[in-house]
Amino acid sequence: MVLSSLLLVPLLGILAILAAPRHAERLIQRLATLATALTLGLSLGLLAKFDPQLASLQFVERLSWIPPLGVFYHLGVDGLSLPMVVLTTLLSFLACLASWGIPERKKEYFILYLLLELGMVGTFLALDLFLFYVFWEVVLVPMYFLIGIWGGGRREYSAFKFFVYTLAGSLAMLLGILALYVQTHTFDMIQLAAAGPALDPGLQKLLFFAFFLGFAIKVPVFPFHTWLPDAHVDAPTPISVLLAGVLLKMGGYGFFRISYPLFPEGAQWFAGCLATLGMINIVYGAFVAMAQTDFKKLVAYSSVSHMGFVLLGLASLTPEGMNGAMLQMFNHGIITGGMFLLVGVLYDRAHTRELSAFGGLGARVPVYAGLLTFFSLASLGLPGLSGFVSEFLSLIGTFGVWRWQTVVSVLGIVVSAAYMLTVLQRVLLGPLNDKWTQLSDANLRELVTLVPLLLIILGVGLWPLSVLQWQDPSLRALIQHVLAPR
Amino acid sequence: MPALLLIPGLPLAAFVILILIGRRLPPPVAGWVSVGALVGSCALTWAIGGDVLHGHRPHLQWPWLSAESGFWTIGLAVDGLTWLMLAVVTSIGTLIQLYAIGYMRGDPRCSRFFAYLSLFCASMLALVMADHFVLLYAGWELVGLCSYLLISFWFEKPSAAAAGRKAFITTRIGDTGLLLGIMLLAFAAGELHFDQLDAVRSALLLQHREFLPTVISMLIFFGAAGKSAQFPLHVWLPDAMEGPTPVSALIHAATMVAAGVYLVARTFPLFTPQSLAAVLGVGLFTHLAAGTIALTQTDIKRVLAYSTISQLGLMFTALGLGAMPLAMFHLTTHACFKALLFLGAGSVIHATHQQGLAHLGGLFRAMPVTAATFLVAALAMSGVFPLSGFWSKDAILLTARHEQAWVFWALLGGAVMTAGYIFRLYLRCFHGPAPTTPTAVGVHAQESPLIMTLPLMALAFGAAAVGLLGSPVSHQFFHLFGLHEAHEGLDLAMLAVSTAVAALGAWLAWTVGVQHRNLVPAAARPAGAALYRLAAHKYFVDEWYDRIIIQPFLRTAERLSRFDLRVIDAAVDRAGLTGWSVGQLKNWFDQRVVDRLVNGTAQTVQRLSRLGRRLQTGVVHHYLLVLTAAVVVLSACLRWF
Repeated sequence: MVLSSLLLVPLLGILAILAAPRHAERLIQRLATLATALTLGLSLGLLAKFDPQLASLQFVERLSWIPPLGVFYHLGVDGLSLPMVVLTTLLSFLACLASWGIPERKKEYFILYLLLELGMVGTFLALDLFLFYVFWEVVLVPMYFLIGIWGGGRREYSAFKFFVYTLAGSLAMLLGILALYVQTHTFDMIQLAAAGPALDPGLQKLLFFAFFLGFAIKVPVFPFHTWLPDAHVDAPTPISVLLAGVLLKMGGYGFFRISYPLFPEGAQWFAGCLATLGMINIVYGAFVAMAQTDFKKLVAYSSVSHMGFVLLGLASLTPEGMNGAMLQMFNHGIITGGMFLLVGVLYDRAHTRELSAFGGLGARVPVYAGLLTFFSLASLGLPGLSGFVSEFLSLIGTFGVWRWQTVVSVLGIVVSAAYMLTVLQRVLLGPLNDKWTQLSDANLRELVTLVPLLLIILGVGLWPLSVLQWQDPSLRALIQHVLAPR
Repeated sequence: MPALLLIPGLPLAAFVILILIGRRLPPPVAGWVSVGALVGSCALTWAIGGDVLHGHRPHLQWPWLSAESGFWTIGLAVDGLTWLMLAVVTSIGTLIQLYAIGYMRGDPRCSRFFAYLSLFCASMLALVMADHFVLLYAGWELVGLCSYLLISFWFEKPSAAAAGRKAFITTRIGDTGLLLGIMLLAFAAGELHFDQLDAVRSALLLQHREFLPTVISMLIFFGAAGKSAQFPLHVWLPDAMEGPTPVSALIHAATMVAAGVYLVARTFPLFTPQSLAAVLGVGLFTHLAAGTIALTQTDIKRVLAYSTISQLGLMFTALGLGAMPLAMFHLTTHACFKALLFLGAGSVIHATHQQGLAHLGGLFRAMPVTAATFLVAALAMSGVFPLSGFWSKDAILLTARHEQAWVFWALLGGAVMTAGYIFRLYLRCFHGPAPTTPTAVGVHAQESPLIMTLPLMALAFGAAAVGLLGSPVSHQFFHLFGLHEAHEGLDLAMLAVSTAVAALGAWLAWTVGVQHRNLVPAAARPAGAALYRLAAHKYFVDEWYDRIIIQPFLRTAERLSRFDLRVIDAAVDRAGLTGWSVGQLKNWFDQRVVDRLVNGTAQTVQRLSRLGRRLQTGVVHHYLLVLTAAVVVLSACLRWF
């Protein structure tokens, strides 16, 4: 029942907030924070009880849900989902703290927020395709409202774009799920992983492509990425954190959980394409980020670039590459989550995100400057910090398989240094702009949200085995499954 | 072996302390924390020195990415080459940090400065102690980061901020070469530990002939060239002089920029004759070209920066000649005298707040210690017997004469230039006429405090004496590399040539550089002036890069960004709009056709029912009438059909 409790706690939180009076804002945000904190605690407990030696699924729960269709309420974790669950609950908790600054309609906000967390956690826990699809769609609805109501700029446009675009992808996935059901008469991912590889290779390729569309939009893979800058820029800070930190990972996770185990033929058939797309993501995203003048948009495009390493590693089907891809998802969530929080800290004070409006803040707000420098360095892949490990693993794992794509991707790391250092130069260095002489440094609540991320970045960077050991056995089993001769 | 961990660990601890609570410490304490940690590393280094000299190889390993596979086991190891780098970094580092306590006194971000310096030392020590390519790469990038942070330390100056970024990005371009080399090596040889490189070399040669080792070593050299500021990646180092002078001395002269030389020395087994030829070509070209630029610069630190590039070129020349220990020997002596030159320059800048040669002159009387130590360094760099530079440069010249005569003559030309630019600098700073402009400073300048002059004196001793360790007198230095055969002895002819060359350079510096006499024959003057202008503008390399690399790069970014907005995003919007239009169309169809049909049906029914309602009058006679009429009509119908 430990996995169900991960879903139950946010649900109870929603009910409690529903019961709370609308004007008791402090109570509401405390309830929400409590719920997210409890969920985080539960997921950490899960981490402690998880046996990293086993490649199989653990803590499995299976109840019949819709018997005529063979739909089960089926949950479980393994090395693929556990890091994602921990990432989700951690970012949900930290972003919840960051949500305290939301100015209006807190009751609705936190209800939707907890619903979002419920959907995200459920997506990573579900082992039944039907259930997976339900959670996948549950995420969309609160996200739409959270961007559309509490966002800024062209929020309705961005929310709508996000919703419709993702839904279009989901539609392809739904068709895939139905086609798969027609063939196999089950939604159970474990049974499908056994039955899927036996399907006709042509059908496998088709199904792989259908799921690819659904996941590619979420990741996002070039050229399906343009919803991302709009949604990120117009979403409120905590929601940007979750968008970048968790929602993009749902796409990547889909490849690991569904596309690869169910359609090994399709996966191998598509690997070259995936590597090329990863390369385009890395280099193209970095170049476009370089040209941005809006801080948040720049970070958004840097996400496109960083997610490219996930695709690249996935395409390799080597232990190094797959470990790199999986770890890159975790690391990107932590690093980019931190970057969005930092953009938010600045925006809350300055009410602008134009890079050219800043300058010389390093002297005025030293703590903020130190944090921004740290996260930027992590983002550009400095060794000793977590981003380096995963990017390096992706690259070195892919090099032997997709040579030219990897070589071109390496160029991306020069561009990422260029845009990240440009940010630092424009924001922190140079003479202090007179407008900002009264700017205040990061406060305690902001530090509480950022310091844990900093410690994780440092910890994973120095001791990558701490995370790799959780995922490595599952990934090796997955590679074996995909490459198994038939 | 915990001592191995402590060598980089102590400066790292100093960094952590200073970054967390540095601002609460009184300023001098921050400096002393940093110095103290480095002194500890220095003591540990010297403590293991004897063992290493006798062939002992301390080694410490731990798993990094995988607990099972030995491939990803990284660690620290010390052999002769590493120990030499350790000794150079910790010893010279200690002196420079001591000096920095005096130099940075009064700077509001003093603790930050020492934190970065400590981080630099930790990274540099990890770099040289790494037994695995990936750990070396990590240290490699981290020293680059520290270099960036320290170049842009006075970040309020836009030029400093820009210089830091330029340094980081330029060296990172080189780093991609190194990274690709590492990936290729891992893929081709399946081994990234340095102690296996000999075996790797034989395996690669057996399987792939010379092609693959050449490619790998060229990629590695590309990384080395970025870090060691060799053409065409040298452009960042002169700009790096925006950093505080102790940083220039430690990072951009003595240690970090020499990391490229160390890297090539470390991976020397991978270098094939072809790649060594490339190393030789790049090194020699850089040595000479940077020498000509140094002759024309008017900023003290920029002269020294180009001098550093030139001397690093000399080291790469030695590597290219296959004389790895000699390159390391020159690295060691160069570290002493170049650090001293920079610290001397810093002392001048500290005293006068000037660094343009036009504003300096006649400082010898005001700053005797600085001037005397600077002179020692200048003599050492010019290769005057028996100072350290003589021994290291002499050995390289000798090797060149044996190996390739044309290199020897080119190096002699380089030696004239070296003596020329360094004496031009020395003479114009400390002798020559004091400037008469209102900014005349020679009169007011004072000697720097003891904490700054003490390191100068210690380094002067080093610059004078370190070379003896590698001289025929004592062959100790080369024992580090396992070379025990006797040196060929002092070559008197070379001694004479070396001294003559240095004297020629110094004389030229005096007549041309200080007395401004034009020695070029009248006929060749226009060409000479053009050449001078070319060198003074650093051969326009920066401008050229801006035009062929930076601007196209930024334009590409702009264009792709516009493409993203106007093509891809526009396509998404258009698809959305199409969907919306289809919706509109369907709406129109619904309203005009479907609704009208529905409404029409309803209306028809309504009209009919209105008609029907007329019948429902509630009057019994009417009903009877209708009934009768109906019966009649119906029976008539039945009759008919």
